[in-house]
Amino acid sequence: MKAGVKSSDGMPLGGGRVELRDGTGAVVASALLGDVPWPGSEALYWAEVALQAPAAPGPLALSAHFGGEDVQEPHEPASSAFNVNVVAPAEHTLTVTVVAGGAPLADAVVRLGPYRAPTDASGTAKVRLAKGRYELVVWKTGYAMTATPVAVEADTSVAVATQPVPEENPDAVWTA
Amino acid sequence: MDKHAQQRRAAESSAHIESRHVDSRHVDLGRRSFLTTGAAGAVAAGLGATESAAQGAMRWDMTADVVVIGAGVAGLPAAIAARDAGASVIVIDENFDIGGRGMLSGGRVQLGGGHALQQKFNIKDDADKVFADWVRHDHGESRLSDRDLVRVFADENVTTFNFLIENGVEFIEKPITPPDASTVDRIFVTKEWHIPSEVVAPHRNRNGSGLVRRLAESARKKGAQILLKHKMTSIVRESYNRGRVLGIVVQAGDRTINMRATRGVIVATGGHTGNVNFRRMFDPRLTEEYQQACMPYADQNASGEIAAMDIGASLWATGMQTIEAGAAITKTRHIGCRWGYATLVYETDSIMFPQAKATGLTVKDWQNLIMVNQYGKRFWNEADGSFKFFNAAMAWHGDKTKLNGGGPIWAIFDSEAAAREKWNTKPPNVDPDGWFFQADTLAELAGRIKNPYQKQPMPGAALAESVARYNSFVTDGADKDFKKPTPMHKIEKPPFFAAWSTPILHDTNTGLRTTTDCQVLDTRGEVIAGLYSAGETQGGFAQHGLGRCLVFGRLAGRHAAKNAA
Repeated sequence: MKAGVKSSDGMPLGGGRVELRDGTGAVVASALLGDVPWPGSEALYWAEVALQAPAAPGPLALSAHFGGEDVQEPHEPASSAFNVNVVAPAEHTLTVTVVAGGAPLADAVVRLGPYRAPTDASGTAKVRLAKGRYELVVWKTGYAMTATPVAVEADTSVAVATQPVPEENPDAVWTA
Repeated sequence: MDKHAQQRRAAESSAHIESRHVDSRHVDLGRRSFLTTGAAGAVAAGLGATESAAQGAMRWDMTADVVVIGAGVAGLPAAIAARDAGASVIVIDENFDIGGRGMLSGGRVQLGGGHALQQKFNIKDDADKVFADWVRHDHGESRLSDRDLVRVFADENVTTFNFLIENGVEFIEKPITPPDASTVDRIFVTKEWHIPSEVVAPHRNRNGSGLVRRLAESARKKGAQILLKHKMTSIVRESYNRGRVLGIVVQAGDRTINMRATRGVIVATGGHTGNVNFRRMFDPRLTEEYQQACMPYADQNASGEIAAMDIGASLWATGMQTIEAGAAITKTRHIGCRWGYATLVYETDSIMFPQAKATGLTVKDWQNLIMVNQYGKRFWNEADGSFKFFNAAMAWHGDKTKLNGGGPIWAIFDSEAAAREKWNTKPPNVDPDGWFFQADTLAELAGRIKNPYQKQPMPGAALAESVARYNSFVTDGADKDFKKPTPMHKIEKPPFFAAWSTPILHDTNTGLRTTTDCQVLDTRGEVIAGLYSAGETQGGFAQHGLGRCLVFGRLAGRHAAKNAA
């Protein structure tokens, strides 16, 4: 995952250390901030942080900490709490074909719990996921969100249909 | 000048005239400016020698049979109908151009009853069907109507449609089903005005320009005089609560003009949603932070209602204003600018753009953002467009210094959402001068929100916590707090954005009480002789939009013209 730190004065923070800590305060991962700000940001210095997933799936409360002493200009320490979702490793591939109004639907997001993949031009998405029962949700702006219960035991396929929903346009809702 | 100063000035000039009536010797000739109009014979300048003793105190600068206040969707047909009936007509408008909100509308005119265009499409309709639809008990927009007004409306649909055609209005030949109490296709859209520089909001299907420009053209051709940047400051009645209406006082720049109307004054000033004091009579929640759709071009400032009420006029069917249906309050679909509404967008080549300042970012999918109040907390399912959403947005959120109103609402999203929506988050699409903000972190973003209605800084920790909580709902696939359908996208990729997304006010659904001839009634149910009203200023029938304003405008003009002096 990525962690970013921003100085209130936009100062460079490259080389500074960011730590991830668990609920007990123990450091579970750390990395050094790079020298190039995150694209599109004013001065968000960031690092890629690798951490070991715990054995059990489920939500994991973590916090990110920045000490502030090991950068060009000293900064006050800062921290931020966040959650990650630990999921079982993906073992299978679910091939989902999506049609809307009879035609393949490209660029839709197919989602099963924490696992997701986009459909390609042929309306097909290959979702890597763990065994289990899911609500298969298809989402694309302008189309009805569908939810289909799916049980995954092995590599398998499923077909889903949706239909276009007219955009909120002057004919649907009163406008001046 | 701000609204309070304008209203004070209006009150002052009423008081000034009142004292003149009491003591006719105190006419201060030095402050009058006498005007010659030079118009094509429709208006007489200077004093009327035949004025009665009661009016002797007032020096009139201009005279016409009918004076119309407001050159909009009710005022323009009123002017034409009055001219058709042989009256001399002056129309005034405080704006620099005609049309009011009609200029910015989609031009979707709801008129039925079985007119020629409906017949062309084999649409079966008649006046009784129109009436039945608009007194329906099972629809919020119809059940509280004054049925006497609805009957007149129904009976005059076809004649008004024909009137529009006769006066040069052109329609696109495609019927549209109204999304309201109507059970028949009755909407046809006017063609957009053909001169691009005269279309105030170009490129956005604001076909209402075709309606109001044609009517103004016809009114002028028929000899009505339209005076722009002329603001009515009071209505003159023989006595403050008794007798005939004699005319109006007008402010044009630094000139004060007393305008005599020998047969009638028609109040067609277009409703009240821009006037905080007035709108809160019906709904105390509507404090200052709620903006008015169609600004900065057209201001529904209640000037007509207030001036009429100052001389005894009654309101009517006030319960209609807060029906939880229709378009009195709407979602802002164009976020990150001050006056983002549902459809109206001021593009960069609009003459209003320097004041409007941004086009706004159009929301295509409410999955791509969350909405928070000024405390940084979510308050409702963002995908809901019902009044439940508005009620939640306007609820008390904990500001001990401001109990009424809900405060600003901010859409919060990240750069991935901007990419999904294909938003360009730079000016001129957004207005960073109080209505759109960007930052590298959520805590920083909260602190950057500086807006006249954001009375204290949004707590950064609260915003970060709201987003973290929402992201956990995305993980779970369920919004535990507000049941937004399967929240799909986490807000986690910097930079982060906050865009003004406060509900915006639109329709006026109540106004002055009138007879079926559009004569204004006082609080005792008596006609105020010489006073008429039509359009959104008129109460009792609040069908959204252009059709009913056109019908009653035309009727008011016709009746005022026939009124004995």
